Amino acid sequence: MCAYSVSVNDVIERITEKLYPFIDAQFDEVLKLNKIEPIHLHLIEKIKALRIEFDSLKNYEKRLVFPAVLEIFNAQKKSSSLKSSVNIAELQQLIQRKENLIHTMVNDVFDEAMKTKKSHPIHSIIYTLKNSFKEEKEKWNVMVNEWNKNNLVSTHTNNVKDNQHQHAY
Amino acid sequence: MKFKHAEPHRACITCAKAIHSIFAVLDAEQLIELNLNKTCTYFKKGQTIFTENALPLGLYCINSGKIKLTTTGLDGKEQILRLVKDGDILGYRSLLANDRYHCNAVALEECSVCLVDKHFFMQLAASNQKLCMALFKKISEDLKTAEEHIVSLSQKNVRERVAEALLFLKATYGFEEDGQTINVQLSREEIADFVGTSTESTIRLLSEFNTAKIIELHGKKIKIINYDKLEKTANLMY
Repeated sequence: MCAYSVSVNDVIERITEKLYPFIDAQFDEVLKLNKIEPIHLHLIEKIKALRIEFDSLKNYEKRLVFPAVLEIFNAQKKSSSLKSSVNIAELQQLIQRKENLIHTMVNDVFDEAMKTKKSHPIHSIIYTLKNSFKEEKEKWNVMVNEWNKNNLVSTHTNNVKDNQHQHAY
Repeated sequence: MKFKHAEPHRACITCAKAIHSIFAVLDAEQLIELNLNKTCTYFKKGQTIFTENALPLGLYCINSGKIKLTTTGLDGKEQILRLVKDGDILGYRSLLANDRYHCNAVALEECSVCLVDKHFFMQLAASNQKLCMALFKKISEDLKTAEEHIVSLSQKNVRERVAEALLFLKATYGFEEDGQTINVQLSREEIADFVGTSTESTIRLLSEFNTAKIIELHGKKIKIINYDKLEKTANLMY
């Protein structure tokens, strides 16, 4: 469990301290350039919608998901019996649906974005969302889902042991 | 041609619908010419006016009734693109682009429709600047509507976001012992902050959910009484 906790900290730090500020800066660049060199209204509206969705995901992760996951992982690290009300599986499901919406929006805007000149920052933001964002979030999802599965299995095993123990008496 | 019933010929010069259509810019002589180059037809509810991939034969003017324009989505389901009603014209995109129809037109109720001959209409549009401008205006308005529709499709609305926020709060804080009340007390401002909208909108939408019996509001406490409906409202289909 300790190894999990260390890597969870690392992944959260990488996402919140490096990846998200990088994506934010790329969005800012696209929207800033649009004031000087406007791209098609239709395309810029889609980019704005994408940013709203990205900000929403970031907001829920920073304020609810990451602190909740860390709380549970740190409690396990200290072997304390924290009784948490957090439903990690449910949170993960909600987050993954938001990520899927972002991926759908990126795919939707891809062809049109690639028609702009290659030096346009819209290329960078689309590539970051299609590659780095996707890869980093996949790592995170695999890690949390794996932990969640193991945790459910160990909880179930403990429950079975408890039941057997009770029956023995 | 899908015409099933002949319709008594309607004179364009006396047509009340023409006043509100692109043909309002034509003079009496041109309306008489238009009249000679069209056929009028009647469609029953459910009848097809034209089908996807067919070549356009002319421009349709709807005299009465409502028509739906549909296409088939990736999942094979019918998708309504838009509805058109009396006074509207139909099939001009394919006609002007010399393209096949990209959708089906189906009568939603009994419809009376006029079909203006393709060659006559193209010649008239090429020679009449006012008609050309009216067409530009119509196309521009349709483009604006289509773009607004695309943007709205790609954005989650505030109602969906408020429902989503409640689901996140429930997943994070769980329920109280009653199994329905979210185990956290947040002010309306704090919920609005999660949603990314104004406090006023959040108050209004929470009140709407309360009326729709999705949640119950007890001060700062929120009780989810219909979880399925809340999930549906959040529109988490991805």
